[in-house]
Amino acid sequence: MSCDAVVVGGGHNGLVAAWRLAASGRSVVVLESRDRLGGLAAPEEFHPGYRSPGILHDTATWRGWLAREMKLEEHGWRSRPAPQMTIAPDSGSVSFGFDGAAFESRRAFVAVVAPVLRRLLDREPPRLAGASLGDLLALARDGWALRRLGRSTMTELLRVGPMSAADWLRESLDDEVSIEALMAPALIGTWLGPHSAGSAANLLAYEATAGEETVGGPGALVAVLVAACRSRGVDLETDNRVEALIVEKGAVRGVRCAGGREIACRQVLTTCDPKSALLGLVPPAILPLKIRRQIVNWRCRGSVAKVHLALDGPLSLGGRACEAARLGGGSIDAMERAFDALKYRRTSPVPFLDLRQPSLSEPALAPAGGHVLSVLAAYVPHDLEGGWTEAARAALEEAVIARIERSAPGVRRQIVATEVLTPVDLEQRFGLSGGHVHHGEHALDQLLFMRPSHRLAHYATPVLGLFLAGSGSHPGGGITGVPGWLAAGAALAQAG
Amino acid sequence: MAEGKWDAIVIGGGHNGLTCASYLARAGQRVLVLERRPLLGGATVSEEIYPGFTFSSCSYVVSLLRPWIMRELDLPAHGLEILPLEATFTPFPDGGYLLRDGDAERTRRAIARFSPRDAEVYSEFGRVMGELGRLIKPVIDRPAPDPASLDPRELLDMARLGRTFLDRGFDWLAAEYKMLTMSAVDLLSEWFESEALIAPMSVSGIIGTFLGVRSPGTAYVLLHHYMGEIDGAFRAWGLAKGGTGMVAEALASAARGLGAEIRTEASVERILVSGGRVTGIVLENGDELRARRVISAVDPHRTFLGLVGEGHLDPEFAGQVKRFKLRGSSGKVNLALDGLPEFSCLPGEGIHLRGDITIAPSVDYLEQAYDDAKYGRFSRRPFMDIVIPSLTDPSVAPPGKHVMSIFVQYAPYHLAEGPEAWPSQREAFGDAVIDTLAEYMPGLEDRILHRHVLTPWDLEKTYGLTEGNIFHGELSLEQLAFQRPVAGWAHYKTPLRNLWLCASGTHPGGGIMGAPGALCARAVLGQRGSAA
Repeated sequence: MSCDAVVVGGGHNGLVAAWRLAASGRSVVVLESRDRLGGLAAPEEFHPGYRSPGILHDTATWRGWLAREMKLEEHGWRSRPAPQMTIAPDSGSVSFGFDGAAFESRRAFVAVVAPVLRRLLDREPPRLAGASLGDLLALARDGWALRRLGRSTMTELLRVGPMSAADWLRESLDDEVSIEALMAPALIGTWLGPHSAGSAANLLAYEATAGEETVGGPGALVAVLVAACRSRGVDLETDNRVEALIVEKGAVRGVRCAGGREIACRQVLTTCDPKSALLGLVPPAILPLKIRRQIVNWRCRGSVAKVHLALDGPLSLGGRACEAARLGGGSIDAMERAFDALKYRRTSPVPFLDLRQPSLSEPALAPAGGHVLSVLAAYVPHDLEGGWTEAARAALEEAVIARIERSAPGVRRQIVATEVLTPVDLEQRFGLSGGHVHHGEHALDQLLFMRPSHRLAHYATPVLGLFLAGSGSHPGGGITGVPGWLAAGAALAQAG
Repeated sequence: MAEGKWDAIVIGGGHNGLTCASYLARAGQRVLVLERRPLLGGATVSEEIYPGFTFSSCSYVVSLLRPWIMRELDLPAHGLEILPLEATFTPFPDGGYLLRDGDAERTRRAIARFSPRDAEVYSEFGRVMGELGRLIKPVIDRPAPDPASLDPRELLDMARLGRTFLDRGFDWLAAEYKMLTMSAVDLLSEWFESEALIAPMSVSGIIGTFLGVRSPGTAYVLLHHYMGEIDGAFRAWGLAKGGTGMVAEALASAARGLGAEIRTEASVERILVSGGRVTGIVLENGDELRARRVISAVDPHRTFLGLVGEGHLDPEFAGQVKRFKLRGSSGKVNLALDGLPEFSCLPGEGIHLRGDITIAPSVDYLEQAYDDAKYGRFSRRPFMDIVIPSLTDPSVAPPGKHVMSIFVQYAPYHLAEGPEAWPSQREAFGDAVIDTLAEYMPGLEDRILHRHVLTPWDLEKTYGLTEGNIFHGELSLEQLAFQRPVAGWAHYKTPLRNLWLCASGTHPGGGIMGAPGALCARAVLGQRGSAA
């Protein structure tokens, strides 16, 4: 069998990449090792009748422009405003959303810089090595866009980026409960605490790109992407694990699947994390030593666990049915202490929870009357001291439930079933190196033109025809679709 | 005093103030330096706190002092002699130790006891860091180019800088970027596997910062320390003969020789501002001194919020100054000893006592020390950097006796109970230091004749360092180069006409470097380009 391009991995990035290649007339095969498409965005039944929304449950950073570009509305894609956030510190009080003058001035700043940041995050990172005239012009345009913000906004952006989220937010806000809740998206999935330098950049990137959510959540998005791919003639195969890349004279010639089946192609776009892709799929001795070393040094220490709870009734917080919530310790120090545990390879005694109840808007995820809680819990180490024994998993489960219980007394009695996925479980189920949901830590030295290394930041690799199309590439993790889109663009440019 | 007698008044007789004054005097300017304390040097000071014992109370090693300043001001002729430190010694609680010295083969064998692999890459690491240091050296020897400026000269500077890196290749640019953004431990872990090596090497990344060895940004401070050079020899550290204050004495002698006037016990109370222009200063005794320019060698907070006063500042600028972070994180314990203490893991006198002694047994130990500080306590078991200068330079102690200088981190200025609680915790802090050290040096307590404990509170009250920050402001990425201390005002000039900054709160930052003072003088004199 042969085709123009094979996409390894049928997650959202793989589907986007496949669509873009197919839309340009390429014959494309997507090979997914699991029994379903969607990767970390795929819903899964974790208890009879109860389905999780996907490991990543936030679709707010899925790019609207991609939906338009791919005409996803024709396949049923719809968006809606992000649900109101419920904020509950450990003390029991509950508040809703982020309102007030201080938040307004923050939002105003983000609104001003967002177009420049999106420009940076929605296109290939600036090309600094071997730059052509066109690259230099693009760089100059980026610089000019930044300049046009005005001197003070530009310098403010350069000042804020390397700061810690705590320092930055404290400049404009006093209320630590809000600060803790606001900075969660910057910290979940990183190896950073609120006081770690560079975490402000993650927060800026999130706030500049977060918008409306997909109606129906990640599952609906995956279904739409699958339909869009099919309409373009993409061949989608599940239960098909790619074991190795076939390389001849430094160029891709195809892939070999489990069971020995080979598919010949000139291009392979892999959405695996950089370590799995380059140290796993690429035959040994092909990768230059220097690049190999860069990938060995790629940091992807998983730091979040996923917990799914099946409930026999809805979870309410502060008297309202809760669609989205952030449950913390109520202060910057509490979040910092949660992070401290990670440093010593322990699970945070009081974990920070990013919680969704997707069954409120998607009743099909649970049996009648039942509900599903989807919880990202930080910080939980991949390399837990003593290993992930049954006792350790039970302790993690109890810590998460106890935290929810403190904000929602009685919730324990509603629990029908639980599923706990430690970083090690995530590694095993999804083939994520280090169990890292973003395929690699979001840190200043692993973003932009450094993702996953300065020699691999433009999706192409030293193996001719092999491209990195997953979250380990710019602009990084989360359900955005951008790495897949840009990698496909690089593949098309090379073939053209 | 006649109106306008002085071309420049320099506030503060620390090493940067004296350097700036020397360069201005050399250019024929009439310069007056005013020092609040009875002795010169600021934190670059030696004090005979107890008879016969000379303490380098604050700053205790010299390495970053720019060689071109030494040369141009002819400091050796003014009595400055730097005695090299011979080794870095790290004892471990289990009775082991790591001793690194100038003998590459001996050091290789010492490291190989912990990891043969690390021993093989150790010298290569030093070479790469040296190369990275050399590459960015032009940056610290000239004013920082401002990417937000539209001044063609600035853009040219930027382009020239970019060119340096493009010529050297993209790999080096990426490596330099990583230095700016990574943590010391992450960076070192890319090279080494043994914590016995990673932990003591990582501490250079946290000195003077409010960061832990795993905090992003600390790799840069590590590099900052790798830029140390004495007489052009990279990565060499030394002690000033006679104590660190001799650096200030030599600078003062040079300044006087060039015609500058220096007054001690002359405390400036206020900078005179009228109509947005600075016209002079008022001393504590009420005397008004006029000058064409006032150059402040005290930190930005003290300069603008203390001496100038917020009322004279544009509110936006005042806000930016307030956001400049100075959270001091270190203290100092100086000991007068009646004999040489011994390490249980390596008894007796030896080269290991004549260098830099680092109490940094593991990464977790250092992180726990940092955790204490994050929550407003001094480290119960702190990181320490120790030198015994009397072994190298017997002039600083009576015969047979010794002085020991212990740099201690973390000692957060902002205690949970507030900074004013420091006086009541000073001795407990000193005890924590001695108790921890005694675990490695049994019997140390019995040898102590005098103990001199400096908390960040003391550094502020005695030496004028706001919040006890030894660098006049944190060396974090957003407070470096064109943003030090405030974006748009990083070229020593200030929004107030005739007021300039010349100390560690400006580019290229802290340590006994002299570069801020010299670069400020060049800016005042209207000279552009690299100083080196």
